[in-house]
Amino acid sequence: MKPSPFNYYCPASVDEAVQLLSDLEDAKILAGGQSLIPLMNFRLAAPEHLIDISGLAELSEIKVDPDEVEIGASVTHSQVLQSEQIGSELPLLWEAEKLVAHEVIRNRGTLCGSLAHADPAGEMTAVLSVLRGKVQTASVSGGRTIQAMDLFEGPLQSSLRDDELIVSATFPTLGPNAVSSFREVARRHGDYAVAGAVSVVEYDDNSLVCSAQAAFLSVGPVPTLISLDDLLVGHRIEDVGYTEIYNFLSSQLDPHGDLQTSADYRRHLAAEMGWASLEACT
Amino acid sequence: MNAEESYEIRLKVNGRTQHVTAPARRLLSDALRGELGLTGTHVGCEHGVCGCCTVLVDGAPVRSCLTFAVAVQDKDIRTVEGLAAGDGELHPVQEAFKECHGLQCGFCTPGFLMTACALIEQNNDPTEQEITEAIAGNLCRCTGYQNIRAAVRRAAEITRSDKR
Ligand SMILES: Cc1cc2nc3c(=O)[nH]c(=O)nc-3n(C[C@H](O)[C@H](O)[C@H](O)COP(=O)(O)OP(=O)(O)OC[C@H]3O[C@@H](n4cnc5c(N)ncnc54)[C@H](O)[C@@H]3O)c2cc1C
Ligand code: FES
Ligand code: FES
Repeated sequence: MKPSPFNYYCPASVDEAVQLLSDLEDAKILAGGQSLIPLMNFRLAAPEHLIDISGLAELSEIKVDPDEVEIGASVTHSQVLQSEQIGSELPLLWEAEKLVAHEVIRNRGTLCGSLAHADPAGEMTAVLSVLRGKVQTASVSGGRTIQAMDLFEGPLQSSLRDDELIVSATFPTLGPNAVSSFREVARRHGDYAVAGAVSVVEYDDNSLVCSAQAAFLSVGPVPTLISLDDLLVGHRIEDVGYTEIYNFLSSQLDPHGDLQTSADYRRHLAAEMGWASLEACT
Repeated sequence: MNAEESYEIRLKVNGRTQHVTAPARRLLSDALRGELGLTGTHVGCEHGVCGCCTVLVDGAPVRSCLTFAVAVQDKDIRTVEGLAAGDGELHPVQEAFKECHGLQCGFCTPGFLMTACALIEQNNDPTEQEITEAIAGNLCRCTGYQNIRAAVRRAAEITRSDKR
């Protein structure tokens, strides 16, 4: 099918973009279009106005500091994967980006667009959640910072106001004693995950766990963050072992069934992926 | 909404700049096929999954069904029609797909050719893994992927020997 009619705007600055967002009734931001255009082609979305931010130079920056990585709203998934600095300072982001669709989609789709789209099956939503990252926004009434845990409200529903756009996303890097890992199962490589988990584990000087967090994708309306601190702090992951961790995760997860798979099987897969990602952090 | 607004869209396709008058909602795939008559770019699913609409924008493969024509003005667009030389000499990827039986019905082929072309222009000695990864986003319903992989491998080989 084809999209329904809309007016197209190509603002020259973020100021101009937020002014348009505030002035126009039923306007949406167009970034890479890799989620929005399929929805429009199926007429599941039919905005009256599209404001294209993909060419805005002020949103194209990648800033890599020792403590955090900040990614502008027009940076594509492919550009994240081309940044050697991100690869060395926050390899988790590379690991996760390689699981986002295929290269051809990543060439246009943006990281911030993934977050604004708030798809609980999106790898970036899970990474932002487990790292406790945040996004910076802009609007005519000023910008704000939204923490990951406040950004995702439901499937394809973020807490962004209609007149607000994401300017950048910030991911804290990991300390020297932290390890991370991403595991997922998809029907075919590049498809949205049936279930997946991303874990971050921190160790003390005796190589015992001092913090363990896992975020799960495709198991609920928003990315699901589970703390394993009670189970793992002061221990080694391998000593606590598969059975206890698997059972704990299964008891915490409450996924839905759909055409792809039943709720029970998805819970099993998610708990397996949780275990696999934690085991990879040892 | 009132009468739909038309946009004057400049498209630089296969090195030639052309003007198209179309509404903002015109997908690049439809502008190429409908307005410019370049029907080599195929349209299957229109949601980014099958890959047969893949074209190059500034050298990178993208889905033309998930791109608005109005949003890629002045970018360098390459389609399957731009692969062969002016005298009809086939591009190495076309030569290789022919040689290795990399197509049957040909519906998916333009997308595979453009994807393979981008891969080989970046890296004329790809590993098996890189070949598989590059074409993983394209679906073929009849040839099967072994011959297609062999064709991409062969295209790289032809490109390397052309360089020598
Ligand atoms: C075949 C296929 C497979 C895919 N597989 C995966 C996958 O496995 N994992 C995955 O995570 N994603 C997948 N995607 C989606 C892809 O990652 C998208 O690139 C991404 O979800 C959206 O980024 P975008 O820049 O294309 O956003 P757009 O499509 O342009 O926008 C998406 C939504 O976000 C809003 N938006 C975008 N940018 C901003 C901003 N800066 N501020 C405010 N609102 C904004 C838009 O208004 C729109 O509502 C897939 C897509 C396709 C077509
Ligand atoms: S028609 Fe564009 S990917 Fe299928
Ligand atoms: S050759 Fe027929 S679909 Fe690929």
